[in-house]
Amino acid sequence: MSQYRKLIPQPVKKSLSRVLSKIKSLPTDREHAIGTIAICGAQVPFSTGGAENLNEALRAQLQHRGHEVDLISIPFKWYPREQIANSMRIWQQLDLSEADGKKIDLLITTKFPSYMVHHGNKVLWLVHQYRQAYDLYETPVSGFDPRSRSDNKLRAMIIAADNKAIRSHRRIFTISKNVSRRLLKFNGIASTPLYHPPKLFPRYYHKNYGDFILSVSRLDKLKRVDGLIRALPACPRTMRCIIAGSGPELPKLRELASQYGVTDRVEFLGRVDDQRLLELYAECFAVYFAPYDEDYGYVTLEAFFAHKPVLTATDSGGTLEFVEHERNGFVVAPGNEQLLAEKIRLLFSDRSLCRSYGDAGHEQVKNISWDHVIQELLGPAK
Amino acid sequence: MKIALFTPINPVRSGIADYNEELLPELANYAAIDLYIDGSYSPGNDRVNDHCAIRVFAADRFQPGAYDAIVYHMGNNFSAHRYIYEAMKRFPGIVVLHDYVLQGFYAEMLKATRDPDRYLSLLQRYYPRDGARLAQRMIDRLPQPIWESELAMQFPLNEEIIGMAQALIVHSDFLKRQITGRHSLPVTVVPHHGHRPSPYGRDQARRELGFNERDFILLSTGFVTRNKRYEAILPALNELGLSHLKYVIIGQDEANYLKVLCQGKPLAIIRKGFVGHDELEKYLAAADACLNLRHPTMGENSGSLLRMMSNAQPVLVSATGSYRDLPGTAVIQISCDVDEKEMIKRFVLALANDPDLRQSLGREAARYALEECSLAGCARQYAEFIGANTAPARRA
Repeated sequence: MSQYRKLIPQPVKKSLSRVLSKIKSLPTDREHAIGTIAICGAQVPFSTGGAENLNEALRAQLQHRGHEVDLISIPFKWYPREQIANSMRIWQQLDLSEADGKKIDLLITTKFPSYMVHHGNKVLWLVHQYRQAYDLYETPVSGFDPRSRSDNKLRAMIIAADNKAIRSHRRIFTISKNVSRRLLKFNGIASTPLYHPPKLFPRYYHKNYGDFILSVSRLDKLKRVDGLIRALPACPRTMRCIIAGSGPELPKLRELASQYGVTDRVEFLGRVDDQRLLELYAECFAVYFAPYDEDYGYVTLEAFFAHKPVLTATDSGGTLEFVEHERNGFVVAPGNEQLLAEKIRLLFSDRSLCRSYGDAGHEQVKNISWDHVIQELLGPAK
Repeated sequence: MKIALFTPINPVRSGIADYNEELLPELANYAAIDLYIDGSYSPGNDRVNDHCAIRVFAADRFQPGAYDAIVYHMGNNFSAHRYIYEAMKRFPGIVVLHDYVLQGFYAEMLKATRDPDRYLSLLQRYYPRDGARLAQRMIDRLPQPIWESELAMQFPLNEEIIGMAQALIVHSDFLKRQITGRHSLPVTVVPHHGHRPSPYGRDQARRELGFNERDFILLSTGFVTRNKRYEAILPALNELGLSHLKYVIIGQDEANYLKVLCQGKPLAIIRKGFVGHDELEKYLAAADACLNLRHPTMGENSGSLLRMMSNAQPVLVSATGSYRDLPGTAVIQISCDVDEKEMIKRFVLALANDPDLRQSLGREAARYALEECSLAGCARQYAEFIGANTAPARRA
């Protein structure tokens, strides 16, 4: 190697570093202007949920920033089982490179199986995969029979197709750490959680820490609003509880309130309009939100944007990405109503604690914005 | 000092075989070496005999007391390392861990022994929470094995081997950090050694291989696997559309991965499969730049990379794992994210258009290989560490 020694003693290191970093920092293709964007989503007809609302909000935000945007939605049906494979094939066969002679610059795909579509420039913002084949597999809601050969084959096909399709995106985001964790755990694919603001952002505000605790959610079993009612007897009589939202559990919750003798302190508002919702957040002293394994949990963000502490449960999933015990709220074991009541009493009796936790919560979410979401989806400046 | 050294050698097609055949002459300056191989082949390189005695390993005849140290070179190739694994179970020694992730070794073992229970219990023992699920994936032969995924470094399945070792030698600080965070045994870093540059001149090599002076020759070497990033490299080069680009890929492609990637695409690549040492040296002399990407990382160090650097080649590597320990001016580090293809394009273009850049990078690469990774220096480090970690009974 001695011939190389002769070549070496030249002061090349500094200029080399400069040259290399200059090449690295040139703007990339994707940082050039993106004009036409299609947001791809699968939808169950007549059923509008969080994913559809999210797509609508994203469309509005992109349009607001001058992009030409359209939503491409194809009905999704999961039964009989062959329909799942058909739905996947439909997306795989779509040609979205252009529409009516106009090039589509970017696809933003969202949930299974919309991310199977082929395109040279697509970004995934994953709402969820077909969870029945993953974390819900072998649970009663899965619908797959682990002993069935054809079911196992279909499941393996979904996983293989997911692995391939998800990797074909230029960038992989999810709506929360919870979704990212699942993607890493089941598919071995790393992704970046990209939080978006709740629907009424930036209109949330704080007015005071009033005399009521607030619960906002659809009233179904997984939201576990009954836990709050069970805790009420051990809370001060001067404290009220306001429950906003409707759902199949409402009659049972009313009965429970009556059974626990707290009917006069619980107010069931049903669905409330945006204005009223903002007022409720602005005037409550705390927000109770302890669902089971939530993907994201808008309510937590809404509470924090209004500077309110949040009480949640140890198995609430996405909520725990924001709520930190004794920093911006309390995290208690599900079903432990005595402990929940103790924490509610603590907040009700000390409004400075509410303020301190509420401010810490606000600090936690203050950087969540649509500007950031869109900058990341379209490509950040590096 | 007398050492029992366990490693495959040629004709076994393994980077570890090449590695040890190069290291042996230097290591022999410090110790008398008995080299143990399995009985399934005869050594293909007569010169190995000059520096050690070659013996076929038989557990019942092996006498550990005759040696100051036993050194095992461990890698993922099950058929080549099976006897080493069996030997280290009975006769603990110093382990040179060439691959941090040994999932491939155990998966091959599963295939060969058809013993899913043992595989399952191993995974469950080391990963109580996720082991059963990971094992079932392998047993069911679900697509994408764990060693091709980002999970590999979390579940390396090296615990049994490390647990049997008296001391460990690894090739990078990155790996030492991984191991010392999880295990308590002596660990040292001996960098992967550099190589003697090709004896061929550029012009002669090009002439003999049939290339023109104008051709811009890019070279990749080593087994063709998914984590070598061909799925990013090939589209990047295709999009560049350089008419004088010749991309040569040398290495076995058992899964026909390149064929699948190239299907229906006008990619001008030259696939060479496995080539002999002499032909490899011609390509290394003829090339203008090299690609040595690996992602996800298995924590490995690349012998082929050091060979490229020793030949003063500018090399693109992935900015991950052990590669991140390399000086930023000795190699070009390519991000493993969405910009990967873009970065490949722009650096290949820069190298194609700028002979000065190629030369400067090549000089720095050679300097690193020469100064930090010399064969003599590496052999000395081996000898020092082995000397310091001989078994107490043998030392006395």
